Amino acid sequence: MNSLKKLQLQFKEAITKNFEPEFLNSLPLRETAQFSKIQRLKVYQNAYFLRIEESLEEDFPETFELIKKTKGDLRSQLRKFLKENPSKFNNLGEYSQIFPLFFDVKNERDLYESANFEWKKCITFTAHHKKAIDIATLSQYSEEEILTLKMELHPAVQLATKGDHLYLLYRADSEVTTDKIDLNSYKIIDMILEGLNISKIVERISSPEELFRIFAMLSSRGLIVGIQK
Amino acid sequence: MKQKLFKNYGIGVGIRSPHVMQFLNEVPKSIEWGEVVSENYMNWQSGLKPKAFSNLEKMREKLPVALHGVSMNIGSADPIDADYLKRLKELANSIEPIWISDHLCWTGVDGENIHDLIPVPFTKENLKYLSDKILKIQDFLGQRILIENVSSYFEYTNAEMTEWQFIKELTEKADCGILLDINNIYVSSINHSFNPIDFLKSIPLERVGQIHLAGHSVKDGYLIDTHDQPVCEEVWKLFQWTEQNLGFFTSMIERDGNIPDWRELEKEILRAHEIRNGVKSEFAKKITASI
Repeated sequence: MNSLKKLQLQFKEAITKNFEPEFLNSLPLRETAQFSKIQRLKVYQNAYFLRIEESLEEDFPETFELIKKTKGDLRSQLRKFLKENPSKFNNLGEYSQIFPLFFDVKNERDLYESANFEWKKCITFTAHHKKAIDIATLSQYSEEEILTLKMELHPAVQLATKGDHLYLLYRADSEVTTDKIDLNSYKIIDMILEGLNISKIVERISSPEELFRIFAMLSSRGLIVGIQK
Repeated sequence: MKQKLFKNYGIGVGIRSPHVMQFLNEVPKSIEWGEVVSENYMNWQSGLKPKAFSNLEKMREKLPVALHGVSMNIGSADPIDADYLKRLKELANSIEPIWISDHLCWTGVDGENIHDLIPVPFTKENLKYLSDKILKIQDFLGQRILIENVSSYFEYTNAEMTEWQFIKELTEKADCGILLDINNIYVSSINHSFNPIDFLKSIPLERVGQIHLAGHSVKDGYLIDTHDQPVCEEVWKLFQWTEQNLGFFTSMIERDGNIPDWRELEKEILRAHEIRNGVKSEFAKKITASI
């Protein structure tokens, strides 16, 4: 290992997880009477924690409240999360996707569902815009061709579960909208998102009318943005 | 006098989300160009394309835009992040920015990101390592990039030169530009007890492409570069000194936290214009007097 890497690994440890004075004082830093090594490193330690805490709080406000309510100590939970899941992302917004998984592996269902729901809302909010197509264009295809078609949904469309409810998430007038949906609708939209063609979807559902009902619902919300053969 | 490598685009601002609508409707008259944070508009590692990108496209139609990154991680012992650079290049190809900048720092090592701007050791060995790295980055991006000096709260014991000597040598070796952050110079000058004018005087002016003006916080006697306060008087004085003694460069107000409404922020932009116009008038008077 080269000397630069060794030095940076030491500092990464000092900033993110090892706050023992003996270790911090052993680092090759200039010290002045005005500020000790520990004071200087503390600026980075605090900034690291606060920056990530603020970013997560912005993305998971309800989950933060739930942690406070069920665990009491939010800070220690966040420190644990950071220690176990250091960021490997360039963008703090993208790093947020790891937060729900932290609760998933610990089998904390309520916190996982809450965090996962909020993460899906983040994607719905962030995804780029695509213009809706008119579902009437389907009439240009023969019956045989229609069965081979795949629907492309707006990139902001997400499915989520929370408690006993199922949700369709999308953007309407730039706002994130969460609609409760029934199980059939959830399954069909999931199959569309998976990229199955109409023939495959029809094979898996009880009635084609269900599929047309979903198409009409998605179309009325401007969520069908493409048809692929 | 050496020829400047970068054009002067005037006075601008770091465009942040609370003010994007303002820029989409009509670019304020006080603004001659804008800077955006690259990572907010680049495709995500997962491939997700952010909707903010289309806003940037629209803003770019109305004014010159610079891309300013925080995650190039130039100073890291890790190799260049090829995926990051690829996504940055894709963004640059679509937006055609006036230039791309990032910081003289490391933000992570061993594949992990600390999301902070940590200073690099000012050693001869690191000078060689970093200049080679910047040359490769510029080769890939197909353009000269700007490197910004960061605020720092510690110095390594193995430093073989000052920060300004390091920047001068590095930018010459790597043939890159400089984004001079006057607030960062001021913050570090207090934290490490040096004269900020010494820093400014030694910078190779032909390489300066841009100036950042920002605010900081004071904590227990040292300064922290929080970008959540108005520009302080000392930094305004240093900006004026720079304009009077070093010349005029593309300059901007950078505010990342506690972002005030547009009218409040614009007061700082107008002050930057006022300083620039004042310095120009002084020059004009001197020229008239000498004729």
